[in-house]
Amino acid sequence: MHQFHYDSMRARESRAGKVFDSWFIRVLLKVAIVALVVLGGCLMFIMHSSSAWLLWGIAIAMLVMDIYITRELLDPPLGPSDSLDDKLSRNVLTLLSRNPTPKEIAKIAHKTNSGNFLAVRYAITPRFLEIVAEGVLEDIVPLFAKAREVQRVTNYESVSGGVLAVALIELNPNHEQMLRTMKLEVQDLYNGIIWYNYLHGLVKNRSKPKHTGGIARDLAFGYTPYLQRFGQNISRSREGVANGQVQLAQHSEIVTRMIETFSKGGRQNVALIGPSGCGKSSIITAFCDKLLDADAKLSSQLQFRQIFKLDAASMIGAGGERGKIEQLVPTILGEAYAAKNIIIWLDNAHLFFEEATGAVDISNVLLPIIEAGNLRMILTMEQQRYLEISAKNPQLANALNKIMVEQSSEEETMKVMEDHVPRLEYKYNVIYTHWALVEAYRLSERYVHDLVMPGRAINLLESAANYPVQNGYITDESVQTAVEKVYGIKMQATQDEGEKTKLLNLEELIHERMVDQVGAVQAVSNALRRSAAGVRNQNRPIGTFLFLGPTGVGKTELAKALSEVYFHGEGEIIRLDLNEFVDSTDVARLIADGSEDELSLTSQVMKHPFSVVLLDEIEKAHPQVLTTLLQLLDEGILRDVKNREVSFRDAIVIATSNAGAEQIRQFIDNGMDLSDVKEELTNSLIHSGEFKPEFLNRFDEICIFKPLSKQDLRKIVDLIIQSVNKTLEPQKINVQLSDGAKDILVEHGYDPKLGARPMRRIIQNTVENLVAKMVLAGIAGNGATIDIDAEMVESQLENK
Amino acid sequence: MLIVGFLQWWYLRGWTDFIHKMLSGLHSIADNFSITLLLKTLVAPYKQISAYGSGSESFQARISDFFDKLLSRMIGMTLRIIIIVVGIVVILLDILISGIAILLWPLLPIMPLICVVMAIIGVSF
Repeated sequence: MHQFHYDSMRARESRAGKVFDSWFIRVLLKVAIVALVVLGGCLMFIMHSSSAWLLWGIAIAMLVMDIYITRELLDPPLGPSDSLDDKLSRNVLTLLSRNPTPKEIAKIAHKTNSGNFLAVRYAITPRFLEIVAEGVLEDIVPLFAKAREVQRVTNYESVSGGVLAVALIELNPNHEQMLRTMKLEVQDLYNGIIWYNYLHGLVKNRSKPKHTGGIARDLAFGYTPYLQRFGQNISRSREGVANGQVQLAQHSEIVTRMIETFSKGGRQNVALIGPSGCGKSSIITAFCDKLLDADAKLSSQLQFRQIFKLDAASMIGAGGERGKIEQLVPTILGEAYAAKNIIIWLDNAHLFFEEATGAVDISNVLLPIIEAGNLRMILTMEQQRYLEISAKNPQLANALNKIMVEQSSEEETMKVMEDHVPRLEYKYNVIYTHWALVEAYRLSERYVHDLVMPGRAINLLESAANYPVQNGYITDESVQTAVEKVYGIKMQATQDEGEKTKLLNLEELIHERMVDQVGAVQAVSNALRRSAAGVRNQNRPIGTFLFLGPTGVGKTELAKALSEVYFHGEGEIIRLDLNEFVDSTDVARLIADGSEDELSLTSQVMKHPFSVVLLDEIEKAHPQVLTTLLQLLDEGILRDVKNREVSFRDAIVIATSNAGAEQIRQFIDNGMDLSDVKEELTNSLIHSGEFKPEFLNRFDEICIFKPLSKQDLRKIVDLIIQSVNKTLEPQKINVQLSDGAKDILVEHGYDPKLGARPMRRIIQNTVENLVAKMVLAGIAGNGATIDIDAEMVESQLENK
Repeated sequence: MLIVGFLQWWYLRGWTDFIHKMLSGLHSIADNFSITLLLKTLVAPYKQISAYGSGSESFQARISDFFDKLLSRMIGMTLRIIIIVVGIVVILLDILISGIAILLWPLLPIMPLICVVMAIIGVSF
């Protein structure tokens, strides 16, 4: 049953075919046939020689040989029996030796099309297979037996090189571990065989004749000049395309329902309602292919009907004013009706039922036509738009035959991506690996918000084509790079030396901007390092922190410093003052759609997922707002008003609060260590009702900021002066403060209740005012160093 | 062994595959001329010219519409009949050629032998 016979008929034929598997030999054979026939003709009809028969005889013998080679030897079909000899693919038969071994299989697998497919897409290289073969017994029979099993499970027609490679891997007792190092499972390889099988089927289908009605098909149907001008003939664009678009179960079902709707009486319209990217256009394409297929056995009322897509934008562009469009639409639809073979497709149909930029409300024209049901129409639109139109125009909603289109599952999305890969590869001249598809699904689910599956995954897959790694391969790395470039997110565990150094010295870098608060700085730095090293929980934000402490001690400053040092600058901080969210209705503002409120939390994070999210004065927010934030803190997800999942999993979430400030001060005054009193403080905040326990428990860490001492304030003076010098950098003016001046500033700027806040104001009123006067008076010009001593500061303070 | 395989293939699967291929070609030609469709729509107005009518209710307009439509139908019918005739001729020719080719198929491997005999006999034109 699982024995290979080197001398079987198929094996011999395959090996013989290999000899002629050269276009040069085959062309030579054909040229020789023609030459012999012509030469024979000359001999017979000019020289009247019977030798011509010999030449013709040879020509016929060669013709017979050519037919045999082309139709049989080069592609011997599988045998009728279930024996291994009858099921081994031609490629394998030409490569196998008389006594094959697993090691030999490892060497030859990639020389077959399916084996090469696995090598390219799944990195099942000859080297890997050779290592795998080391751990497999020398006996070939178990390998063939396993290969038959793989063939049956994958529903593959033959035992190909790819099937043998997978069988060989499975026979190795350590195969799971070996595959895991390549981020693969056996099921992935099975899917690879199925993927190859599908693509192989597409290629085979291409050569099959397509019956689409012939020259008489459209004779009985009318001219459509307006439709040609304002619409797009989808059917015409599909005629030259080979059948074989992947059909999801849901889509096939919808196509059947569309055929049923258009085949019987009643309202001749179908409204496909579903989110963008769910495949509404693909369904219409599949429906279109079905109508054009003469072998589909549809009713004559539906067969060969053509689908014209009407585009609101081009009609508005051509029609200009609303009145003209109202005239144009009946003309176009009248033409479609008179032609008798047209199905109108209104893509983004809501644009025909609302007044907006790029849209025009012609429901008064369309509604009677839809209600009359004489002209077949397909409308596609998003669910939200449909609901809006239904609310505004219930009559229209009632007149439509609605079919809901849902987004595809992970398995279906993978199939759709596999279907798209050849087109993308042709378009961008690249090769997609299995990991690119897996990563496109995973990351698109997280970062692509405007579309649903499978559209969002395909979108990202296509973006990745611009970032091939070596030799034009598109890998998971390419997809990550695409996400990094498009969304500005750091995806890959950092490889850059500069980045590594920055992360390792994050505390020092942050302290260049702020003073003390070592515990909090360390907590956020650790979170970022965990994230960059890829050891964090991917299903939560990078870190969630609650900063507690009195005002002016650096809570907000730490968030800003973090943003500047690690998140591409201070601009990447998303700051919400929660004292503006004190009402339960403010939840709506928090999760508003970007088109309505671009400053809502969800819309900002949607645009900049890799950010510091700063929720200032969180204790002032309404409890409902805090409840809304729970899922964000827990799972890194917040649903916006359109029910889209917005990911916070690449953000660091920092909430600040002044709650408990007085207690902190008391702890400090009593000489207690803040790390020892954290629990006590937390409990006290819960008991006082300022925060609910479930809210506080959601944070990775609660960081207590201590009030600033005079020593701290002195350092802050230095930091502020540094920032003043930075501002004066274009004029090359440098400001220096004497120790006495600093002492006076600290003395006047120190307020334990307000922290560092007064200090900035005092420096502005003293140092900055002084510098301004000196610059204007011409005392300090470009390149000058301004020394400010205690007296100067004193006099400024007195003047004030 | 290979000779046996060749003969088996030529007179069994090769021949049946060839017949299928001829039939498939015939199917494609029939689809291209779509004669059934032409017959079904034999008297339909050509390209629906005037099929929609002027929309006027007056007697004169109706008469005018009627004759316009009649003319359109006549043009359509004439064109269709021409295509049907051409189609039938092409299909018949294809059947003839395919039939001959199918019948010649089994003779092809022995033709070289016949040619040798003809050469030995000295048949010439």
